[in-house]
Amino acid sequence: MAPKKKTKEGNLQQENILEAVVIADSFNVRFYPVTAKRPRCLFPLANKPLLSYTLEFLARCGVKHIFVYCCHCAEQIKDYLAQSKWSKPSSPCQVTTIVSCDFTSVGDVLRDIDQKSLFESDFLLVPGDVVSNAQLKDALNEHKVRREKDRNIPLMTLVLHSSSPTHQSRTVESDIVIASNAVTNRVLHYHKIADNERKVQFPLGIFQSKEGRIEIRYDLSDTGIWVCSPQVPQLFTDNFDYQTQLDFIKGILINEEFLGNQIHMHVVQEHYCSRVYNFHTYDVVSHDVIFRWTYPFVPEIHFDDDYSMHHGANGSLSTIGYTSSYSLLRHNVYLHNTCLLGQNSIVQDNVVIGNGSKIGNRCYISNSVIGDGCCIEDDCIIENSYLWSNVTVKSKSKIHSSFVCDDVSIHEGVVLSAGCILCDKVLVGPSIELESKIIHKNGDDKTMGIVADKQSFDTSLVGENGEGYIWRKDVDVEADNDRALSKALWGLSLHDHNKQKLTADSSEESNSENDISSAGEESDFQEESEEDAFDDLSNFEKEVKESLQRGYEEKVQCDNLVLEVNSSKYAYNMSMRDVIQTIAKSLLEIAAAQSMDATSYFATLKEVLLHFLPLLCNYNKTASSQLDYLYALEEYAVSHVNFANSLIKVFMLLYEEDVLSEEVILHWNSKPGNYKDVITSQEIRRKVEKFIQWLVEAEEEDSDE
Amino acid sequence: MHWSRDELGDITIRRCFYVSEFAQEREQQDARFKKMDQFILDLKQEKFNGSYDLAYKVINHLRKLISQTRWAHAKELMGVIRKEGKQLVAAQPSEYVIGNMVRRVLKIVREEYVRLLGKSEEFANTESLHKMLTSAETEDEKYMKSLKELKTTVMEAVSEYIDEMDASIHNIAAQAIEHIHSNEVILTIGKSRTVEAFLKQAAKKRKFHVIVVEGAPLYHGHELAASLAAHNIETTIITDSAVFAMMSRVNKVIIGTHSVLANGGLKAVSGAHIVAQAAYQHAVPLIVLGAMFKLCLLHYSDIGGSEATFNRLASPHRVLDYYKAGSQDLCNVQVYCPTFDYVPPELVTLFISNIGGNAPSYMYRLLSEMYHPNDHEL
Repeated sequence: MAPKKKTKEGNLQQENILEAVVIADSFNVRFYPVTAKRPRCLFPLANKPLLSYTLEFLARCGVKHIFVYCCHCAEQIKDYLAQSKWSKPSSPCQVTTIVSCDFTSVGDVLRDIDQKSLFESDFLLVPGDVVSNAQLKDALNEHKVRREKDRNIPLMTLVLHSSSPTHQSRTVESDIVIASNAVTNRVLHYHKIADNERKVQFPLGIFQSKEGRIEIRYDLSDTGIWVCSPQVPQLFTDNFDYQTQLDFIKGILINEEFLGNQIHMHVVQEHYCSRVYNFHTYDVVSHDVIFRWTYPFVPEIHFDDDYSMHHGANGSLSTIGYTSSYSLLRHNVYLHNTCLLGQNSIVQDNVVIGNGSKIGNRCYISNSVIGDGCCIEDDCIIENSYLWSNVTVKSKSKIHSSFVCDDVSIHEGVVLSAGCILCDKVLVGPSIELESKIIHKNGDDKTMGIVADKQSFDTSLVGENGEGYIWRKDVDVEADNDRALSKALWGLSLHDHNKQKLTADSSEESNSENDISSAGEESDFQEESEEDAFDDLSNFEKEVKESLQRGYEEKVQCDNLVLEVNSSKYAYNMSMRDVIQTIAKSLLEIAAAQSMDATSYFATLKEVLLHFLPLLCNYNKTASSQLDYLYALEEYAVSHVNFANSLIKVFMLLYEEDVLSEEVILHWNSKPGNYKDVITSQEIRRKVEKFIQWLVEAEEEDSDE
Repeated sequence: MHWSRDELGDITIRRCFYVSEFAQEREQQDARFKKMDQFILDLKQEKFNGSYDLAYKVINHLRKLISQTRWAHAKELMGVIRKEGKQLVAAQPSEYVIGNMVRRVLKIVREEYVRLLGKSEEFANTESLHKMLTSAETEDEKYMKSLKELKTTVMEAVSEYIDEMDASIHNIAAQAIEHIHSNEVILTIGKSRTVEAFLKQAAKKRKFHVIVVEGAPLYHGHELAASLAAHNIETTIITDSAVFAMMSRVNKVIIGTHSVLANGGLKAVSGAHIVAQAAYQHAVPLIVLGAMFKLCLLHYSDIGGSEATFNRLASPHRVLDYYKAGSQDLCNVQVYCPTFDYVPPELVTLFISNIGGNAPSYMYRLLSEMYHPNDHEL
């Protein structure tokens, strides 16, 4: 009897208490190497740890119990929480930390939640890098109402933030488009736009439903906040391949019909809600804090009491320190009461200067955050930069658009510009100019050996007294998908990115050979209807191309290659058509990679094609497959002028080697595709006109005889 | 000396009892501290509705503090109140009402102490050279006598003061008839509960026209206009930019205020300065309504340097949507949303409080009656 009663009481209590999970790990390396010895959620944002913004936001939403899942640098997070106000009896909510180094993804965390069965009612899932002053009351109530109507179907509510398409807070990484029901706010399609993607396909089914209007919105950014029903962790356990939130959303939306789960969304309009997930967003969110969009989470309101708690000698419960304090001056300048400004120093707009920092004479500071205990000597210029704690800047240095971490020393006359990142304890200078460099000082770095003595530093790069290594992005730490984004590491918003994309496109037009892969991917995408399969397709393409490349270089027997291609085909569940197109493209790419200039192009191509002749014959047995092959060639030709010019010779070769039959070529000629890139399908037809004519004449001769 | 066995047992039992009592007391104290911290938290999260609500909550909190903490004499009590008061003030530095309430309670303690000693109240207030020389007790001994009745009398006096606060809005509204005449045109800005009550009271007897300035970007004026119109008062809403044009028709400007500074200047809703200037240009009298607890010891020069305590710069989303403000073409535009305006005392004609009408130049006198000079610095 007794235990039964207890659980019932527990249930009752849980209905009333709002709980939240904070995932204090990003499971990616966007901030590496800064995050080598420091978790992202303890980055200072306007001189307060990022996590304190998240926790305070939840406390303001009325959350009573917060579980903080930490993994990377868990000890630091635990220590921070232990000495912060969250572990004091006066804390507005209970904070429990759960540590495990085994988690490698968000999916693992949710599976752990399910294992521990932490929740029996709705809960919030929040990444540890959210900065917001929103009240989630509305989102929670909407979710509750929907759940009351039907206990099982509404699975979760995504909290999204509206921001115009050219908004500076949008980045390539969170470029999403969402189709939803305008009346019920149900999410029907969620698509994350990939780097080079220009077309988005929506399943037709979503437009055919009879209930309500359908809205397709490109003005939303994902805040990563989920209002979850207790079933969500279970679903993660059931589908052990879900790694990220995106996997989950896609999985639910695709399987929605037979599982009956639905995802809804809530758009935060009035309030501020953003995440810090790369250097660009760090920059944007820092500015938003300084511009007071996050009010009341602004530097001069000390919601985060840990500093004074830490330093004040106290024992009694009621001593919450209110000593440390910023004052706000005009033009969003926040000066700590203990900071010192030298004579004739100008502090322009939007600056935060932290506790005990000293600024020398005749300095100029604007749009920057300077942390606690920094020492900046005379005649320095600091613009658009972030200096963390205990940074020393010697005289006559210039720092523009850079990111300087704890305990860095910058010697005289150093010029940092355009997105330099100096990690903890790095020394640079004197008199050196650095541009877009990432300098770190991790003794255990593989590339540099274990011993980090002074000799091993490259003084030509970091200066005579410098200590630190240049970080190269191609070191194997970064995953594949991150590598593509690494160019957007600093100071590149979506808008900039689009601009860059446009300029890249124009250069592509003038110089089409250089950008084979990206153009190829795009045209493939047009063929593909579901973007999920798109991932598979690109993987498949990669694999096939690799085996063919190897086959060509090592002169492997074509029969073996056919086996290899077939096994890949089954592994990725590809249609015959995809296989043919992929082979066509891969061969042409191999040839293009081998030949140096336009004149020798056909010679190499011929060599390649002749080598793979048995393989081509094997796959092009039927008329339809031959036709597919022809269209694939055409598709490639429209974007590659070189190939288009030699297309007629290629046709001749393939015709003579019996890969393509006469009827198929004529059929292809009569039905032009609508590819349009550098040249159109029509022009392709014109290029092979002679060959077609010759074919027709030959046929007529045949029939005449 | 011989102790019988029983007696020894008795002593140990008694000691145990003391120990357990001590533990219990400590537990209670912990729980109480938690409650008090909760109040500070509420203050920080702005869980209060207007300055009257805030004042009421603060003084209730202080009343609990007086009744629940242990203190031997008035000096210790004042120390406790001061300590707590400092924390409360720090939690919301821009809400001067908190400091006012703390000082007011301190003054009550002083008054009650002196009264119980059988001296006149005025004696306690004035610091004269003569008194300093003739006084028998030194500064240290002052307020050190332990008086049994002090707690009850202080509690009573505080309760009395709370009653006075309760009645303040009615007392102000009761003066409406003397100031608003028939067929007058009254202009006001934003929404003040006191002004609302004042106008409604006057509307019971007289017919007049109210022009409400909407008060961008908060637009509290809209709420006031709706409430007045529902009360059958002829009401017109105008934009902030139309104030000067409309002022020539206005007979009186009546506004509320967040607080009144020591020099008679106002800390009022943003836009009040424009209204006051326009009224001054057109020689229209500007009447300010505000209960006595809004009167504070600060001068504008004390706080003008660091705006942090005077003005509250809220999130600019009301002025410009973040949706638009973050887009590329607007990202270098600075957007501010100040909540308050300072209105210098020269522009104020009359200040009406619950104890009657006064000129702004008379504020210093009222202040010296309300607060003890030794409490100016908490």
